[in-house]
Amino acid sequence: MERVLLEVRDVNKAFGGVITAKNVDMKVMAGEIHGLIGPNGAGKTTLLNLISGIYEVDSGHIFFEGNEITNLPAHKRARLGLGRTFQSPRFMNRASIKDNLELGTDLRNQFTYIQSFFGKKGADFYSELEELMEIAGFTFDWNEHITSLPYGQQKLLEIVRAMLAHPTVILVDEPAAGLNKQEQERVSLLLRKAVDSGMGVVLIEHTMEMVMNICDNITVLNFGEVIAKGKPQEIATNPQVIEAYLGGENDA
Amino acid sequence: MKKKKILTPKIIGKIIVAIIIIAAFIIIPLPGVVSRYMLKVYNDGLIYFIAALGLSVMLGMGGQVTYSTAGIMGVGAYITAILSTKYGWNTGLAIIVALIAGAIFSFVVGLALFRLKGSYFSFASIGLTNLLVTIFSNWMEMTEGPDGITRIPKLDVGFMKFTDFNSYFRLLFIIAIICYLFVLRLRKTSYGRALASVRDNEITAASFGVNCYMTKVYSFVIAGVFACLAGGLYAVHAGFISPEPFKYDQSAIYLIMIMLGGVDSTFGAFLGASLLTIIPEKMRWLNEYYKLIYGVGVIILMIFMPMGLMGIIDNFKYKMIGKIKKRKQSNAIETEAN
Ligand SMILES: Nc1ncnc2c1ncn2[C@@H]1O[C@H](COP(=O)(O)OP(=O)(O)OP(=O)(O)O)[C@@H](O)[C@H]1O
Ligand SMILES: [Mg+2]
Repeated sequence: MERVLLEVRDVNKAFGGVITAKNVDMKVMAGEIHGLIGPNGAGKTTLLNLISGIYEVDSGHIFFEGNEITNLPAHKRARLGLGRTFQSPRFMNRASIKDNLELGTDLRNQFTYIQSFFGKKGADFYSELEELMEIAGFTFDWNEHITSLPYGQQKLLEIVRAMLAHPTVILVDEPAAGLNKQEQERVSLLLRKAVDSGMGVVLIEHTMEMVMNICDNITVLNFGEVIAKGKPQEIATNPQVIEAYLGGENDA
Repeated sequence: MKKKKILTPKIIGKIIVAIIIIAAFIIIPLPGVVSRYMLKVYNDGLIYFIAALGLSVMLGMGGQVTYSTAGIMGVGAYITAILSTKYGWNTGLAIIVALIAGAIFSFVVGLALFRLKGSYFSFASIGLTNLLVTIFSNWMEMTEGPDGITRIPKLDVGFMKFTDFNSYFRLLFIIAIICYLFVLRLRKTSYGRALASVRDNEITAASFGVNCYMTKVYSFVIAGVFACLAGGLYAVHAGFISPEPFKYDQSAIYLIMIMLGGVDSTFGAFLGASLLTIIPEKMRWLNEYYKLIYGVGVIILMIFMPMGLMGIIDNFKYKMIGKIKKRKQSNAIETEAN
């Protein structure tokens, strides 16, 4: 039985004259890695921002686990279980690694500030963190500043932080950009781990090898429009997709 | 077997700090240790420190620049003064009412002001302070206008009266420590992290379930309650208040206190408040040149030490720790080689 976690229905968005989403439909199932690909400027990040509530849609609907969330503010969507990472890692740069990770566990616990002030403890996330770091393939002293980590590790840690919040769906924006082969492999393993535990993943990625290897389904955007959707093999041979990629800057 | 070290450098440091604090608490107000005048200066310093602590939550933790600290301190001071002089209330009770009023006032004003973002908020906070000062200066029946309210009784909490500077010093000292511990604790809570995430990036914060707007409003309430507390304590200490110390330029001094001490450090608020209370006293002989030197000092501060004094100390600490770590590593390699 397939369960729809996230549904985007007929969503439109324009910035001034630039149309970045045009009648976009997309469904993300539990346990699926859903690839979202397309040339630069196709509107991938914009769609992610519409789903997570950073931008408001011009028209259309977004459903999360069957409930409409189109008009909810971003923080409420996050609390419902919509997690995300960013195209370039976004941490609290003046804080320690620990504080940054705890932002994720705070979201999971959802204690009130008063409860937190009086020391209410959430489930110990240390063993879970250890398990995830095993997959991520590096260690750290979590009292260190977040900026002491190299770029690749920061990108991996961003996924770990999102997973620590126990979301239902994670939106991941170009996690492999700027990473070396081994690190890209680790990204794939982390995302696999996420879907194996029942989450749904939306993956924006330009590294075609990775997309073709780990995605269960793919939606292709071009100029804000869905030009193809289907299994990786179908997408790879779709003439419209090839055309879009060859017509634009070649990223594949 | 590994010996468990009880006296780590960290614990030794804490013990030393505790001894200094207790010694200051006991010795400074003893008769003959400091002059009556300097004791009053110290008391003022502690009061400024309390207001600065509230601001450190907003500015240091939350990254929100506000010019309202002095104005809201005035709200606390005037409520305390009016209730205790015009209505004959007990001063302790008057301060408690001032705190509650301050919380409600800050909440409502915060809801309105945080509709604005970043520097727009900061500009609006200047407006707020000017508005408050206008009220302090013109609502004659209540505030006595520019002449101010005189004969404010000393603090009386029922079982105890604080009529001299010495006993008041000890009381302020205890209140300041409680406020300090409150802010330290706040840094380690989910609220502290929420504020820090709002400061660094509101989009990330929202993506982790943080309601940025309300988080900022709460920080304004915390700062407001601290400022009102400081204001009430100031009124009963001075015995006289006028609109003068609650003006916009005084608010700027609170901002400088936090930046001088270091925005990332709670202890920095203490350093900043102490220095900006003591230095003006010690530099009176400079007369009109004082403001000039002061202005140049602030500019130099912002250029050369954006993270304040505590930033410099932390940097130094990091470098030392780095050196020790390296030495340990090279030792470890040597022993391995052996
Ligand atoms: N806030 C905004 N205001 C105006 N235009 C925007 C805004 N955000 C995105 N755009 C425009 O929308 C279009 C799509 O941008 P988007 O970032 O979604 O592309 P993308 O598919 O993620 O591209 P990339 O692969 O380069 O990350 C671009 O033309 C961009 O300039
Ligand atoms: Mg993008």
